[in-house]
Amino acid sequence: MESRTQRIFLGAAALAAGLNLAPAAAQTEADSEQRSVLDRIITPDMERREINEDKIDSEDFEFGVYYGVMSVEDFGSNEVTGIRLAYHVSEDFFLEAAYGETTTSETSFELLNGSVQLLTPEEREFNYYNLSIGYNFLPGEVFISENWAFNSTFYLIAGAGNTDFAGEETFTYNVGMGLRFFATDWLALHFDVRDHIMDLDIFGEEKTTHNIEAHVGLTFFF
Amino acid sequence: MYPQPKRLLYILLAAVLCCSPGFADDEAMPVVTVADPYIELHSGPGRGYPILHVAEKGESVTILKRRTDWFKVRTQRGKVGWVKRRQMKDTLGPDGRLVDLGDPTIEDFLARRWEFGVTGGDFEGADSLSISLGYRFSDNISAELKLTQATGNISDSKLASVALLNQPFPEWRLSPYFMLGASRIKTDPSATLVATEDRSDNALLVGLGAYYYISRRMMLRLEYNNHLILTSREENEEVNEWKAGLSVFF
Repeated sequence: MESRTQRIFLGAAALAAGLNLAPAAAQTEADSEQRSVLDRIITPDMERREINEDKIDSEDFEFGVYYGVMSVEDFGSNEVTGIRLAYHVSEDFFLEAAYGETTTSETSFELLNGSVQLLTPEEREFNYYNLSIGYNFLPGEVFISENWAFNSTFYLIAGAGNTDFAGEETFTYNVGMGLRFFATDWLALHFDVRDHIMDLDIFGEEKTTHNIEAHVGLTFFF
Repeated sequence: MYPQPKRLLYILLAAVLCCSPGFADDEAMPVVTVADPYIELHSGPGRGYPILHVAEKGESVTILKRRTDWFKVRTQRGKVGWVKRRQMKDTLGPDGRLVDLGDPTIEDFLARRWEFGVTGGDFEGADSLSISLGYRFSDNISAELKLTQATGNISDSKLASVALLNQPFPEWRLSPYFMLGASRIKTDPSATLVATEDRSDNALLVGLGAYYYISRRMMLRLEYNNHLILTSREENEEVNEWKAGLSVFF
């Protein structure tokens, strides 16, 4: 019973509201028509676009190759080649993954002895990979001449990885520093010095070796 | 060995040709209006590079690209430079509304999807190093793919694992999680010590850990894993692994 009366009242109210609203609706329609005419006159004809950061081209990755000299303790200094990929987390920090390889030469003992070979040719291959964190320590400009300056940054870098040498894999720390020299926004030249520190037991007794690498590299940002 | 440098050079050249930056057409590039009194245009994307130009309030600039927290912009007068994200925070879009170009915040951390991480630690006495790629399905659940190499005096191991992570309190800045997974483990005993051969086994893992959101896109991660290696011998082998590392999210 109650619900029926409610329905009647609600129906009546709705009807009344509908009648009341009708002129109002006509009014707003006329209003908006007028406004759109005004809009066309006042607002310049321009495309409305949402600005979304994802659509802005980002260049946080750096990829490149390097070439240099690597001194492997007891096994001579030889040329080294490698590739590197870095992700720049902020203007200060970057993460870098690198892979390099060199072929070591004979030890002094092998050279003097003549007939003794401590390692097979395959074992002489020295391959390493590492994951490092770099810190852009001294960003700034370097001046080639009075009117010719380039952006550059001096960085400190440290990390860990593995080295495959003398028939075994060895956990290796690396510490170093480098200079990243920007030729353009997206092309950079690197001068890098790195110490690869690892414990080797090729001669029967385990010892910590320092293997210094110096290289020049070319990288681009993408 | 020596074709290597040449091959690398070709790859580099091809890559440079394919995606040489800076030549994208202007149509797609967003234009914003400066709302701060002025913004500073540096010669490079970093604090150490000098300010060469400024753009004033009301001037519109085209955003060319972004590197970390810097935007490369071109002003109406054709001056090009890098502006720090903080200064671009209050710029206006073409419709006069504020453009959201703020720093990545804890909200981005809570809404993260992809995660890439590097960890180092101890794998039952051996030094271990891992890289991981994670994808978060929901606030609580994520899946992870992980590669680990552990090198020690007794044996070297390589692991490939898949795991599911559950974060019961994803909204916390220091957020604990537990994980369940399976691995394939390849063990290579040190040849100088023991005369055994390489072996590959399946393993199960349970783990506990925690994320700590540092800032921007970085978080710290601490984790303990217990691996149960299902060997072909009489007894299964248990390995404890502790590690800590850094992750970035996208």
